[in-house]
Amino acid sequence: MSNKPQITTHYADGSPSETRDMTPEEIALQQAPMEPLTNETPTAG
Amino acid sequence: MAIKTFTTGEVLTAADTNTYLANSGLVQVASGTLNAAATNFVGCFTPTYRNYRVVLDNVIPSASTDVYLRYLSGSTPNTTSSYFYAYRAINSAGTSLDQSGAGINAGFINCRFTGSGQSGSIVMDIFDPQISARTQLVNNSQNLGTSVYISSFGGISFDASTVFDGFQINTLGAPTLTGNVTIYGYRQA
Repeated sequence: MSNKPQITTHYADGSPSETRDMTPEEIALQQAPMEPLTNETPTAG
Repeated sequence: MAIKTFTTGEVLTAADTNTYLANSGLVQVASGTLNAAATNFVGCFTPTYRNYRVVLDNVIPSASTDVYLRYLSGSTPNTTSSYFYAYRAINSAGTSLDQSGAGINAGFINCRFTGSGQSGSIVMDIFDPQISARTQLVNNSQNLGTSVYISSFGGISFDASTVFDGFQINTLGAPTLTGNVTIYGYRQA
């Protein structure tokens, strides 16, 4: 199995769905604009 | 207003049934599963409907991640810095987890997953993707993690008059998502 992030495409017109590796350009755009949430166990407010 | 009101003992004919089906409020236009970091739903927005409801259920992340949306033109995601979003969120301990962003290259649709083994759901209404106007979106989401529940509401406005025919659900990272996505059009009278 590939280690690259993958992208799946579903088509509303009924064409078969497909999954492929992301291109280098797509991988470059995989940048979350914010840090993920880390306070799973919050302190009492 | 009811299309027709039946009386006791009256026969529901095929014609009546077809009329009701044709006049249902929500019409399913597409569906699919999430099984990667990014999933495209191509061609689900058409001139037939102005507004859409999108339901994501049993969404499970492979690791800590948030969930984002990008609109599509064909299979190409729009990555211009045009997404504005703001969310109120709170967890079951009463801690505020609000999020906002202005001029971002993707819209935030929440869930706020903090690790694997969690599950969430998202419901979105998307307004005017097929009209040359700002495409806007409101959504609610929830996520149950390890002893902590997170609920949020908010929305996204795309600051351009671009016409879109689909959307992409994306973690914007290595984590993948599994889950179900169903897309409905709001029937127009």
